[in-house]
Amino acid sequence: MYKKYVINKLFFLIILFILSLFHNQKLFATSSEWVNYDQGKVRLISAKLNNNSNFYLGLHFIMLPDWKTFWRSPGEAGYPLEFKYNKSKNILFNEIMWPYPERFNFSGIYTYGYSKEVVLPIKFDVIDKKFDADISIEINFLTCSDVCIPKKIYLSLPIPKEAHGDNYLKLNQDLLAKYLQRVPKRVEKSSVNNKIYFIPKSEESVLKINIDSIQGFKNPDVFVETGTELNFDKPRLIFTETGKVLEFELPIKDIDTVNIESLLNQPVVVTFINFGKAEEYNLDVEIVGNKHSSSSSLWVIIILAVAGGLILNFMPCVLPILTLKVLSLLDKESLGYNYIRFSFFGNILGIIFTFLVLALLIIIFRFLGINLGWGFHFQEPIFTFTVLVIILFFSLNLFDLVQIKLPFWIFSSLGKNANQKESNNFRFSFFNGIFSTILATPCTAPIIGTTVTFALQNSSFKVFLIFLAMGLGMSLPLLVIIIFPNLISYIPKSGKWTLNLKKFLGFLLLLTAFWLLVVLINQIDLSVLIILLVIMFLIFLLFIKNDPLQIISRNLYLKLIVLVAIPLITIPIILFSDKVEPEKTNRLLDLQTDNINKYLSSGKLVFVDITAEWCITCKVNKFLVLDTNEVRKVFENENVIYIEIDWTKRDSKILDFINSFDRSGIPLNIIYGKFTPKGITLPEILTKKNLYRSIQVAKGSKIIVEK
Amino acid sequence: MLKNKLIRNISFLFVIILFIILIFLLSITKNEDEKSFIKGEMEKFVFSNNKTEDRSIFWFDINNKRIDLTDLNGKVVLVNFWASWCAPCIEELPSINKLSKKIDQSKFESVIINIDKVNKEKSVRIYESLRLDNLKYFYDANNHLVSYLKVDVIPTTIIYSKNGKELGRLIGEAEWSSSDAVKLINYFIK
Repeated sequence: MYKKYVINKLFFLIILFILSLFHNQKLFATSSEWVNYDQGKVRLISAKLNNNSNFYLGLHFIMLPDWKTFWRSPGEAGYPLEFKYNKSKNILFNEIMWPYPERFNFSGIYTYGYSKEVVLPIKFDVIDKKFDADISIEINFLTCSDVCIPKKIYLSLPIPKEAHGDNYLKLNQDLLAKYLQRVPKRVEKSSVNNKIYFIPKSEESVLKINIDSIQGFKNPDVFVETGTELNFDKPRLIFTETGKVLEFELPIKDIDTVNIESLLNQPVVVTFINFGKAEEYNLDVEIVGNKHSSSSSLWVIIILAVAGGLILNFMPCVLPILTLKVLSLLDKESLGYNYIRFSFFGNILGIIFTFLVLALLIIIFRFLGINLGWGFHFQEPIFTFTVLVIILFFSLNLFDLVQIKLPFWIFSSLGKNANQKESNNFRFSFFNGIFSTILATPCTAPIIGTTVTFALQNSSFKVFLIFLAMGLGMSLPLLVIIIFPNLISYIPKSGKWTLNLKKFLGFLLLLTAFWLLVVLINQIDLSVLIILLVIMFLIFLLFIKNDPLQIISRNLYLKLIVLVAIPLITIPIILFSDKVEPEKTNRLLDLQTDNINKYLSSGKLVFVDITAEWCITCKVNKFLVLDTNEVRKVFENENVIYIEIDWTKRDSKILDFINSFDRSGIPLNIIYGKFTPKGITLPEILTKKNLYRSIQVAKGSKIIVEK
Repeated sequence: MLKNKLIRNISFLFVIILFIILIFLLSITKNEDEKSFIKGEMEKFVFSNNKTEDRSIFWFDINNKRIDLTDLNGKVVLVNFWASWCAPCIEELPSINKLSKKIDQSKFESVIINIDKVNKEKSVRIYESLRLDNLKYFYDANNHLVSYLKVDVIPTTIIYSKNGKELGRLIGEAEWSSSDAVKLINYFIK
């Protein structure tokens, strides 16, 4: 056995010797022996490329299935190969040139590296070409599958002086060229239009990378090296409409104070892979404060608007009105379906009309340079008061305490007078529609919030379109009845249950009135309010059912009230027209960057809550989240300064502030921290979870990604 | 008389041999017993032959205070080696944290030892981000321990008996919060 081996080897040597004679002494090893390790093998190869006077050394790895080794940036775990060349002679080495890597996912931990086969090229030069050179290196690398094993291997390869000629080492050219091609080509920043943004968000902060490519895209991928310890999930690929700009969104796994700072202070290296080749760019990260990428298309927004409108029907302030509408028609089946249809049609027109008027108002005011927020009309005390009066009357009516004898347009549709003419029926329904829409606006559902925001940023045409969609959405239940009027006959005939239901709805309205009263207390002086309320009740007495005022003539009473009321109403108007509240303005001034920065630099967080008495969602947020003991404690522990800004009354500064966050209404909650110096907005509906998460983001502390 | 003595000696020898065989058989059946725990998640666990106490096993805590295995005598000790560059290790750590909560802490201790040579701070940050409330951060200075114990693959987990003898080791990743692992540890505690 041994003999045979020796003979074989001898035979081989003889052949080599003969060959070397023919090749004019040019035959020498172009690669080292394979060094086997348990999980693969490695050798040195060398070559000189045709068009290039440089020598290339290649670390040629062949790995067993499942085993991998790492890129220069290993990702969340791993480390890159290192080599030491101290023992090499007459050789000058350059850095390792790293071919672009693969992305490995180990249960959510992403690492970058190579599997199966790779050649890591290293450029080198022979210092003195008159002498032989010797490559002798030590490599330290990590190989991992479901375990990790650090490896240390010695490799050597002599480079005889004969090798310096141009015909050197053609054997390995193809292999080396194949991997050299995968080494990213450095492209100067000035010659590309690519951009990278840091977008802090409460749910998930991302790096957004925009890449231009004229040639189109094939299997594009992107790796970002930040020089920090930030880790990323797999990038999400978003093709833009034009198809010429590629947008990657790289979710940042754990936000970290130090890391975000250095991310913003130094350029990052973006490696972009396309058509199996790679380019790399040094790009500066731009911070994007709070702009949403409003890429949502008009259609999506319109669908949202319809949905939002539909939801408005179920708001506590609107529900009673529409329910009563249906109840009023219960006994009118005898009048025929057309009567019912007509009545609902009036309602729908009323709703849509109001929405269009709102849209028109917004557009007109925008032309005048005044931005109106959503729910703006509730910032007018006179308006609020009027609505309060109507609602209260409505409610008392449902409790059967007052009765309408005058043709009071809004309530007539309740159907107290069954003998109305068709035209009246239509007109009353129309006003009913208007009224329910107006009442609905302060109950801004979150969906409405986004759609209105979108609408307000867009052209007048789109504003109309979106408001129309909202109106249609709100009318949807009515439309169903118009199409299938016989649905009404499925509701049992009115009886005791309708009376009880009316009382319940009356109670809901009473609550709404109470809420409006709270709004008013914040808008006008208490004394003024009391006067107004007294006048209101005096007027209500006119309509009381079991009339106690039989003694005085109704007309005289009416005149008396008018005499008292007119001066009383003019006084408050004068009073609150020039009412200024310096305190709240100051608070807002606090938000001007200097002060915020002062807080932030001392390590504090600032939480801004813009709220108003008429904003129901804000109240819900307070009740469920912000005012809970748990949250207060967290605020205390995390050093959060809580600033509440009250927008119950109109204030253009506050509105400008809201608009600067691409919102048009409230609730608006913003958190400022060292890492979110421009503030990040929280979702309209707060939860403890999203609040805590955004505190973490603002603080820049690590966030555990729960599995 | 002489013959009698010989017979007595032979029978004595016989009894001794029988006794040895009995012990041998017992140890085999005991081994089979042990093997019944080596299933499922603990499949990769290998029992050690080394039955002597090892006095030179120590590591350091985050304040560079030396801790010896002998300090933990009286407890079954699980020693797990991990590094910031080892994804499977990082994935495994939370399961060790869970295991340590499932077993009586007066009888069992879990020790995770970081073996990073450079950038220890990174390993501390990873440790913190994992929120291992039941495990402390320890490190192996200059890779003394891993080379002494001939740990060249991580994750590797070694289990020591109450008196500091190596009971066996598991090379690679395992789900330490599984019932198989709990059974194995409880078996060692008994």
